[in-house]
Amino acid sequence: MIRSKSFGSRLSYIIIWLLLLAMTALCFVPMMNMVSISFSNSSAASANQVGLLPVHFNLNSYSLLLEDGQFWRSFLISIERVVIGTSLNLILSVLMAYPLSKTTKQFAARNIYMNILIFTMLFSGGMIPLFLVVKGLGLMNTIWALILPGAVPIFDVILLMNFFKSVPESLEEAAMMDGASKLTILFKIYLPISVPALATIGLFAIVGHWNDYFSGLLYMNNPANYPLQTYIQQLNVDMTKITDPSQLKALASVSDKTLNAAKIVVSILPVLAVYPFLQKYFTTGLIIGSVKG
Amino acid sequence: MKKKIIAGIAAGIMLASSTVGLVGLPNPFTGNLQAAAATKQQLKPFGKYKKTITYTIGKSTPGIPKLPKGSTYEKNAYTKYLKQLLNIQNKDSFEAETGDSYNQKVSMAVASSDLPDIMSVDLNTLRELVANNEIQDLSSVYKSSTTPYIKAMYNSYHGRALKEATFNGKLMAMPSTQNANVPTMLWIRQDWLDKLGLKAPKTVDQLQQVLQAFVQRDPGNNGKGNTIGLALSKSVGGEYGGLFVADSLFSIYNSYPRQWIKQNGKVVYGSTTNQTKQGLAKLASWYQKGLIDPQMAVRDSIESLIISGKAGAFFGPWWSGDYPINSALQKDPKADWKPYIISKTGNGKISAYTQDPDSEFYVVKKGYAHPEILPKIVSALSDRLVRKDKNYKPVVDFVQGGYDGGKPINVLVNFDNATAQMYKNLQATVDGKKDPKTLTLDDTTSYNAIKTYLKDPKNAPVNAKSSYWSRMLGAKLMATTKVKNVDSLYFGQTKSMQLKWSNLQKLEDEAFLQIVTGQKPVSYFKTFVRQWHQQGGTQITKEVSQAVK
Repeated sequence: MIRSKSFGSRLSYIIIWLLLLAMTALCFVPMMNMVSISFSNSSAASANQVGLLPVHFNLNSYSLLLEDGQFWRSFLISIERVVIGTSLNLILSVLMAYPLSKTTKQFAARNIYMNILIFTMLFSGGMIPLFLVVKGLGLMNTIWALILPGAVPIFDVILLMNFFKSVPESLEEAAMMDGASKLTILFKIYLPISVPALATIGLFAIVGHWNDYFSGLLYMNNPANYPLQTYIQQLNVDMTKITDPSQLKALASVSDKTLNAAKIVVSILPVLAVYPFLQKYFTTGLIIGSVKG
Repeated sequence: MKKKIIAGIAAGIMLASSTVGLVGLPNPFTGNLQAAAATKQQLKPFGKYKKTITYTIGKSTPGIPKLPKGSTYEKNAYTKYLKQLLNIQNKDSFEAETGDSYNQKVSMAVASSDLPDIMSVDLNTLRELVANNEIQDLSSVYKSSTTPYIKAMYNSYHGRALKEATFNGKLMAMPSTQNANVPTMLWIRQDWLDKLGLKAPKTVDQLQQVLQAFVQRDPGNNGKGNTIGLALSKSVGGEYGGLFVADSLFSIYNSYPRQWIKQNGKVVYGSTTNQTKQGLAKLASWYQKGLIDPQMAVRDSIESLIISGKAGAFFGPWWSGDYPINSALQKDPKADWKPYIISKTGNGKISAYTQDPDSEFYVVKKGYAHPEILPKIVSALSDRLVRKDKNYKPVVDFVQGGYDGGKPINVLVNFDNATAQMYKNLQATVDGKKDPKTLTLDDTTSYNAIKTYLKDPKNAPVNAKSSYWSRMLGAKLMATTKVKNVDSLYFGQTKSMQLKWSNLQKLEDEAFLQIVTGQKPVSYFKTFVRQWHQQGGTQITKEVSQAVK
């Protein structure tokens, strides 16, 4: 790219840089504050005196956190959910997107399937019918209640379908000439070239599974089975709404600001760790999939 | 006329269907386990069953399980006690944190018609369950299986406690009571007063002078302009016994915001009265003078002002010593907070509105063969365990270990004047007029803290100090202040409220905040009242008047 050196373009660069820096700060400051609180002395934290740097640096909250059995149990449940859930999302999306990327000549019932998918994407039964189905299937209190209801991410199927459509037909024909079966074509030809798209929807799935707290609340009858975000959601208590001293004792146990901050910091680490590896595919994947073949 | 006919028909249907229920259509789901109804012996409050009776519950829990290692909500000191005493055992259909999470679980249970045998619900759900005929009439088991002590506690509310749970003369639930926790008081930095040589304020004007001195002379060395006179919540007022709301200021003007009260023989909504306008005007003038937290509209942690030592005063209930002052002391042991009563003429006589006597309702599923189990558990846990069996070792260890949430069914029943009574008992014990052994378990813990404090008030540990301030200063003020009670009349939801109430509340919240912070002049109050009436307030007032007749 040739950069013009005129005053106006330089100024616009500076403005753009400043804007981006400001936006980065907007995202970064709250996180930094949370990290600082987790390393601070708890009375400084409850007096709101912690800014971007810890006050009276210490590791107390992290050593307390290590002893918290429920936190780690929930952490493992969330990891399990992400691993199983994301794999299932990817497998089902691929298996569905491939046939749907064919024309009606090759796959006669394609439009019927397509309509069913889009219908469910636009209209859902709502929370209570979904709850009744999950309950009726005996999934309550199992990890499958968190995974199966959203096992086919329709938005991802459509994204992937459009990506498959953009693959030149001659590629498939050539493979067929060499005697490849449909499955071989899918796994040996289509999958390797659709890594960007898969990484994109994989990331969607990981973040979606990791951050979802509500289904845990809905389908788990025992707090011991809560995934991590549901567990963390329980820590959010408004102390000024107390009207009865008997509630005080119960609430005192969750009001430890530094410990809660430590929990939140640890809870964002896994997603933070996955992001850099998948991010490079993220934008390319989105754009490629969106062009209709 | 038409309405009456419909109401009559509805009542008739309800009556008919509940009689059918009493005759007892066998419920296919529970019939097999508990075949026979209870015998006369078993109907007694502490009558023990021969075979273990298992009952399912919806368990509302503290946020994070705080149980001893190896204990669960189905197996701990309390369930063991109930097993020994009555031979009953709970099984939890679901467990969820008290509040939104638990309510979510209850609404799912109701929607899927899969209720546990016993659970707690709010007033609206109770009405829904009664209308759908899904829960049992408890009138007769309340009579037979509740101890006189429990009944005396319910009766201390002069019939108000059980009234909300009674439908067509039938008791459909056992409520948890909420005992009196007013007046809220003014907590003020005594060390600041002393430093400036000021006397403790007794009237609104004196309070204004003190706040002015705090803000102008900065006794806390916070730096000029950093001292906040009064910390105030953005809801301003109308939360019973709440922290940081100015209810005790409003009551001086005979204003009772957010309450349905009787004025000149008519039912009115307290927020719309002229008296409330006066209260708001006073607060607005203070805000303008810089005596109230200038950032009150956006402040999300008011307690941080108290803890960091920036604020000099706040309105709070008697237990403010336990929170947030306890945290303030941990930050700065010299922060000396003391409670005072502000009254119109300085004579200490004040008025306060009463609250909803019930906080939640425990119901028994229709078809469950042992409805008497509910009053029996209440009698065991709220009577026998706190009096006769208060030295039961496992529970004593449980409480003293700082654990929480063990009771399978946590019906809280207390005398209306329980807080005042607590203070009187503690004071008598401190004075040597009462044997410490006769105190309840909770009071014994408080008494020990008070003893520690009195030995060396200056160097007492924070928890002893804050416990003393709450119970011997705050509760004392509560017990000894003359309060004229103004009855708050209605706590439920009328038909129009379901549609319009949340909008009206929003209107009200915004109007209060805008007037106090000076974004709108005090004269805007008139506009607010007009809008409030236009947007459904008139109709709702009519419905509430009907309901309380």
